[in-house]
Amino acid sequence: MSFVIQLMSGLAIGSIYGLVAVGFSMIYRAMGLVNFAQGDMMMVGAFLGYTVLATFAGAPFWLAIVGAMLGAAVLGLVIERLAFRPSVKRKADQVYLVLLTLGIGIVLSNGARLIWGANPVVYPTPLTHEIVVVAGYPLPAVYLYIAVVTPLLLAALHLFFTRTWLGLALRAAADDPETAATFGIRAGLTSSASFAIATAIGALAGVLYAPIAFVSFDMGAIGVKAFAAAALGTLGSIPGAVIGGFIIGLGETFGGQLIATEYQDSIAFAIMIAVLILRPTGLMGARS
Amino acid sequence: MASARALTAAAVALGASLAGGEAGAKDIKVGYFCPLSGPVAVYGNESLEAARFALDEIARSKMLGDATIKLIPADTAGNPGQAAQAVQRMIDADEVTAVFGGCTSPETAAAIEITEAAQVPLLSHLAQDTSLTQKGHKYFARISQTAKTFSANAAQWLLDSHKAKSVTILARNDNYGQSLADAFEARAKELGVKVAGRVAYEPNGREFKPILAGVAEAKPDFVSILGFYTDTGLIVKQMGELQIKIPTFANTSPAIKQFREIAGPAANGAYGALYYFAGSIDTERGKDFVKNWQAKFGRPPTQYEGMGYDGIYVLADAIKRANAAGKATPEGIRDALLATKDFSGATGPITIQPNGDVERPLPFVQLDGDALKLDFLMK
Repeated sequence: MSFVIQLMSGLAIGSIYGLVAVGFSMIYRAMGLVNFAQGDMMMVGAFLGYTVLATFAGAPFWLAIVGAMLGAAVLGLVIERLAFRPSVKRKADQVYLVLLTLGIGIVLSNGARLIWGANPVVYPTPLTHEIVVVAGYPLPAVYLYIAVVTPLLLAALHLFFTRTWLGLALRAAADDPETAATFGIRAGLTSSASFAIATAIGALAGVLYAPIAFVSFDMGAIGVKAFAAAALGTLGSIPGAVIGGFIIGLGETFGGQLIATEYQDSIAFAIMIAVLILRPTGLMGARS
Repeated sequence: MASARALTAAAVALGASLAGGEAGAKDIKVGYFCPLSGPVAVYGNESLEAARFALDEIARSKMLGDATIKLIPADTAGNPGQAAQAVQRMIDADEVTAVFGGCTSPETAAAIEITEAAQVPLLSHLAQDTSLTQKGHKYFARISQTAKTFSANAAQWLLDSHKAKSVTILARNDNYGQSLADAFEARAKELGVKVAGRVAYEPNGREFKPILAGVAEAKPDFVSILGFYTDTGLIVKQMGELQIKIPTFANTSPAIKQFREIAGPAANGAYGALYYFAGSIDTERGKDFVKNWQAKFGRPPTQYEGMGYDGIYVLADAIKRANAAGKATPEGIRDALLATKDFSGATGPITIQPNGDVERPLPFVQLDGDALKLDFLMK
């Protein structure tokens, strides 16, 4: 089997882990909180994309991306407003906040089962099964979307954090909330914005992942690997999350092949443990 | 157990009345338990519809004289705990003479605990777990092949029907997948089919390309994927993406709509095996069933419908023979059930062995676009 095909498949799945990991890192940066519902937000995003494609027959794939991101952003805002902000206001301990995220994940997963059913669904778009031949290698067409959308999103995030008021405000509040507050940056605004953006990015990952496999209420389990990617690349670092995603994606693909495919799923965590033993603060730890 | 005694007494009374040819319709209560809601509700609902269809025929034909079988259905939602409760209730409160059902192996295993204690015969039409008949249960029988027999037959079919010389086995790394793979591998080796590789994959795995890389290198004549439709579907899809054109045996998946959706065009040509495939049985009985079903529902029966239909008939036949022998007790029905031999079922001839297992035909099918076609009927 061609090395190139495995490489592409590792990079594609790595991009998905990376995108979900970016969501972990954004919320961690803004609130110092590991949001374990991130994987389930990705799942809801994937289902929202399905609803768009199933409702508007023949709708282009980008419409599913946009629809899912907008829908998920609203969901993120609602969750932040209804669940997190009141808990933070009442000075809930970090441990409880993390438990709260786990609870939200379970509610999202069961809610999705109620709304979309227990059976997996497949995106009703030709892209799901389309194959393109690039330089003689057959690749799923959705890889092209991943190859275009992931760098675009990262560039957009970079511009957002360096050129826009809101982006700068988020960074300022993350670095020094009290000084930022004296400049009129409210904590509520930063956590709302972070949640909305993180869930939208999660939804994007879900929609891009859907044609690779299928959408089911339990696909949030991917979140655990994405968390490993985020931790590996240092929680809070966006480039770190992306790099972590690639390491885990490629590690799984090639590690699975070299060692034993039975252990494919354990490899993500083996890599995370190895890196964290060598560099307890993660790959980007020195910078953050 | 008081309830068991009461039940036996009631059944003996019933038996005596039947044997004595007492006039007037008698109800023979039979419990039915299967998932009627939840993700696997299709097994239970289709089987129930067909069981009722069979009961109508039995009542019309007076197969049991004046007596009629009254089915008491219960929904397990696929949950073993719920199944055990339902079966206990139908034995205690409804005083059923026999229990029919168990669409999944775990719920059947839970029900066996209850029916064995109460000494009420239980006939399952779909439970496949090999271990169910390995524990010396006295009141359990089934008309579905064990996973072990099913899988061994699949290996046989590879050689008989496709002259395969080598096969790679990909199996879910859980009890279900591994027990299928063990039986498959053992029979393949016995027959001299080379096992080019055997891989256990993560049950919730989504990326199978590293595994498929090995398959492409080994170039076997066949790939046998022993798992659920979610994983078999993804594996077949990814084989398509990698342009691996090796014929596949995808367990029972080809009959499932979601398998075709997940695998997409790559599903075309995939082989599988079913409990029953409409049109595969060319006896009068087999043809009549399909014809009558078609007349009522406007479509051929599914595999679960075929099994639900035959299950009730096998049970009714056992009740009839028990009556004739003057032993219409749960024990008498159990004895008759276990003595079922060459019963001419709509899904093929059925013989139940002393341990409760069955001998029956196994149809192999192939996906041709969205439709299934019979590839081979293993008798």
